[in-house]
Amino acid sequence: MAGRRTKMDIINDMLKSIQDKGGRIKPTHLMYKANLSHKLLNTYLDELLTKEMINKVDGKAGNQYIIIKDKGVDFLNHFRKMREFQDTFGL
Amino acid sequence: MIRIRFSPQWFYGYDAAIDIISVIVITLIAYYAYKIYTYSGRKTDKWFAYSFVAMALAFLSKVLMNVIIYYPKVNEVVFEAVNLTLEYTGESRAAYVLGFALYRFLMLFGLYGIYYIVTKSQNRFDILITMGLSSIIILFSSSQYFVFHVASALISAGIVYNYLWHYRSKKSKERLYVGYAFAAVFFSQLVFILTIFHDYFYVTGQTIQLIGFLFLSYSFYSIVVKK
Repeated sequence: MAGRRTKMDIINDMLKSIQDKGGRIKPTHLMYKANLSHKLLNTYLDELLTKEMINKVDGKAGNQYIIIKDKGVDFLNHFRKMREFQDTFGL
Repeated sequence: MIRIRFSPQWFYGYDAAIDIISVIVITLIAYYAYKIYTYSGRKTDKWFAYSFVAMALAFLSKVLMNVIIYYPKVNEVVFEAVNLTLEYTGESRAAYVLGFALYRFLMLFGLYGIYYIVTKSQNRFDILITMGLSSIIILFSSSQYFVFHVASALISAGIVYNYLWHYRSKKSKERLYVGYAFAAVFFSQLVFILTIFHDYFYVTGQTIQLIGFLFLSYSFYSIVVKK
């Protein structure tokens, strides 16, 4: 979508990036994939953690990963339907 | 004397049922569009929802007016077993004038709103002027019925053109069906004009309208429920 991204667009981009990576992603990768600054990434991560859409887990090498939870998958489905509704009705 | 009975007697009730089906479909779409607005905050989503709410209220006012005005007269006609032209005076006439003025205004507001959104018109003043002038002509013209349906048909044609034009660039069955739905609204408005010649045109118009809203409900179902 052209123009400035809304908060919903950013959350969608973040969750989709996690899903595209098989459900888990490193925070740094997410920052680049979702095209966010470090500060914004942390703000959104906090919000998504509070809303239980994602979770933080530790990997084998001590790296931290972000995983998508069921609520996050639900959000992606709803968002896709909303976008399709907007496209279909020319909004 | 004023003619308010457009439906043949055997069709009484069926027309109200068709209008109620239309109200349900329109309300569902309005509700979903408003739900999207609460997430997106986009004015387009909000005004799309308001336009559909206006159309739902238009159909609702039409149903209510029919119930208030001419259904009590149906028993009278059946009882007397005479095909007569009823005279409407006093309160009935006032209710008719007020109710159908509301129906026409809300329907026009709804259709204009959708047209404004799908054409992505930038000039708000233009749309206000056009809508204001059309409302004045429709509400105060001596040929209200004719002018209203011609105006509705023209706006619907504009909406259909936009949907089908954009369908060329992005082909989707749902979008095509939305185009068909508004095409049905367009044809129903044309057929309603002919109701002045024979009441069977009213039945045809209502049937086409029903087909249109079934197309719309199918698109809505495919996007929101099925997938």
